[in-house]
Amino acid sequence: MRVTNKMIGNSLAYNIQVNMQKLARTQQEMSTGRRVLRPSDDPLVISRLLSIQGALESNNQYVRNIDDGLAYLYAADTALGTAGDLLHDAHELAVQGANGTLTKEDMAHIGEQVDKMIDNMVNLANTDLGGKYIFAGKRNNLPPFNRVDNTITYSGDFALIEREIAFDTPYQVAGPGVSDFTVTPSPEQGTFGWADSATPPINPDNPPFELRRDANNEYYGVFGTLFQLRNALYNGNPGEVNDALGRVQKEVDFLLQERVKVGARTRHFESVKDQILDHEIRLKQIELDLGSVHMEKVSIDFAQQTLTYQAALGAGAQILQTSLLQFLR
Amino acid sequence: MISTFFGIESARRGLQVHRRSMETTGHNIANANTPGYSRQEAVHTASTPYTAPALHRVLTPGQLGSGVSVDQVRRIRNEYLDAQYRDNAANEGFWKAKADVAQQAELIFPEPLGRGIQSVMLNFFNDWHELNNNPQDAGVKAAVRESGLELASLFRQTYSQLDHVRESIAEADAVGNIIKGRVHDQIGQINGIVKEIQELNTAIERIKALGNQPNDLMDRRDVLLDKLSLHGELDIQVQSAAQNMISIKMFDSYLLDDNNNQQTLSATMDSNYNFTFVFGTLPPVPPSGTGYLAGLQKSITEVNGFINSLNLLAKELIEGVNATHNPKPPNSGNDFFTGDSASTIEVAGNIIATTANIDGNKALAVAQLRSVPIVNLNNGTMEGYYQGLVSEVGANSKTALDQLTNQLAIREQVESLRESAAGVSLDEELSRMVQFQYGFQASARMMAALDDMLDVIINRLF
Repeated sequence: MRVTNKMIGNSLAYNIQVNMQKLARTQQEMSTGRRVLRPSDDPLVISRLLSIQGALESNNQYVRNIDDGLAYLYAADTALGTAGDLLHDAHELAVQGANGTLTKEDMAHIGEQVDKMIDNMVNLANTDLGGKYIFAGKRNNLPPFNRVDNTITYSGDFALIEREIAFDTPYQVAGPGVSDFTVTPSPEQGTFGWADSATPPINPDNPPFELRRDANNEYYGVFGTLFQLRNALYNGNPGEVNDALGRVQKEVDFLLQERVKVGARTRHFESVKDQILDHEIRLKQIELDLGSVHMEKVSIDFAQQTLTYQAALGAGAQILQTSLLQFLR
Repeated sequence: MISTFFGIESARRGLQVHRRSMETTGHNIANANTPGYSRQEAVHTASTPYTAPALHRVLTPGQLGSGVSVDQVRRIRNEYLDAQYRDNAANEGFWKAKADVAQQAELIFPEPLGRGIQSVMLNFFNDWHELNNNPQDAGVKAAVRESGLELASLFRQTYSQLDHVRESIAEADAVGNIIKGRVHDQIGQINGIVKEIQELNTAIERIKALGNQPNDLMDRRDVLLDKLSLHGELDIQVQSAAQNMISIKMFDSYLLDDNNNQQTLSATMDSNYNFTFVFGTLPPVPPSGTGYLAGLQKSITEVNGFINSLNLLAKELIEGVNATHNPKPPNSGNDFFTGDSASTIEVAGNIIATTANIDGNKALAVAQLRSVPIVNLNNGTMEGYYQGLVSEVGANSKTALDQLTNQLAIREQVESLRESAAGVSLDEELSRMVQFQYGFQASARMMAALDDMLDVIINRLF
């Protein structure tokens, strides 16, 4: 092939340009440490990178959700534990009151203590976590339970407290303190009983609701039990106290079950959290493999490209200077 | 019987021809770096010998040469390589158009390093999770509102940037005539080039008619044809070898017809962003084949596709969030978003005015929209759909860039083949220069020798 000066000049210019482009690219990869800087750098990898980035960001949120859920569960556990202790104390008082050796006045005194226990139980049901009342469903910015003499009202709502703790996996943290008896099928009894079904349907937007009472005009659940015990003691009737005693025992068991549920959820949350943290390490590893440069390889590439570039410049400069002109006189 | 001065005539011809060749060499050297210049060569031919055989011819032994003449100055060029170069240039134009636009479109998506729609959308859903954790908290509600505002404005911004790219390709007036953008500029350039070719055609024809070789004009016409072939695939026909006029067709329609009449190009665009090209008085045609214009057609369709995808994503987001946040009949409660596309998405006025209108009880359901597959989004999640879009934008840009790099490398190869035939080599020209210089000197010496001989006869014999 015939070669001309312009060909050499053109191909030098072209090759210098190609070399510079490669060098610029390698330099960019080295200085950022990343292989995929724009979607076009690797369109196949970009969507995987994006979904990993998405997973990492949402994992952060899941961990926050779990931590928030765990705070709820720890608080609920403490509250239910204390409530159980309280019922144990009530049980002891009931045993005292039922043995038939006390005078009416003494029984009335014990009744007073039980009455204070009801206040105490209301306080426990109003346990809060930085201003969020944990047994109030989602209307949780105010204390949900309120006692006026012998009436207990509930001003929370009936929403389940749920947290999404993994992709597309919502999980219940706690039920509302009170279940809505008017829905069908009627749900399990809430930790502190049901809402009143005396005047259904309940308008959930219009609290407070009085708790539901049974045929004997007594509240279901722990409040009803404590009221029954108190009234029996006020009446000084050891037989009635004895009846109440059985109910107290049942409520102790019920609260224990609730507490076991809370414990099981706590364990689940903790293990999911461990999983997510573990998953995060693996995701970050994959992200690094996909998106970042292998520095050794890039350094070698860079050295080679620099060498080629310098050689091209050197050879080009030499050959362009040589011509017959220098030998003609 | 030959003339006394026969030898002097031959020597004179030698001098003349070598001077002529020197001048051509000088022209070549002067144009060594002129783009599109093909080297020229003065073709030396031995002139008609003395004498032709005939019945009554003078009886001299052998034929006597009468010296040399230059019959023509030809340009040395491989026309087949021109055709190959122009085919390749059309491909290069096509991919260049696509690469130009695709790179512009790609810049709009800041992934993977920047904070793009995916990241902001995730942030938006995460804030809803946070609201689910604190359903009554006014501060968290404000955060949800802010991230909603950010997401909406990012959608609108991305839309308007893509829209600018689309407008930079072509913008039409009310009746569909393209009045702005790359297509418009291209058409201006094409018409200018064709006009020049038309003028060159006329000049070449005239010079040819005088029996001369318009080498430099033909070089200039070839350069213009090279440029023109970037814009579109050309069909170039030489009308007649004697006149060397050419006709040019693009998209199978004449830009320059058989009678050297220019058909001025213009273009229109319909509402689906399809171009139609009008060549003067000829019937309108759509773009076809390769070349920059065809590449622009492909690009605008693609950019339009990106915009449609973005609109669809925005629409599904708006409808999904609204249906979840406000499951009552539309416009009766508190919709979170208003609008129905990426260009119109806004956080609803009610929400902006009062964050209490954000319903904490719906927070988890809204947050979970993130993981719901949506039929209209190819049965994927919103995130997945967006990832597909980014991937498509990237792949589009990568293909165009790779192809363009290939075409440039091929161009480099063809160019160098062409240069190999037509290019000026300085060393070659310099050696010719020395050669012709000696030829000239020798002819002059010959003349001097003959002069000496005749001097003897004329001045000294008697």
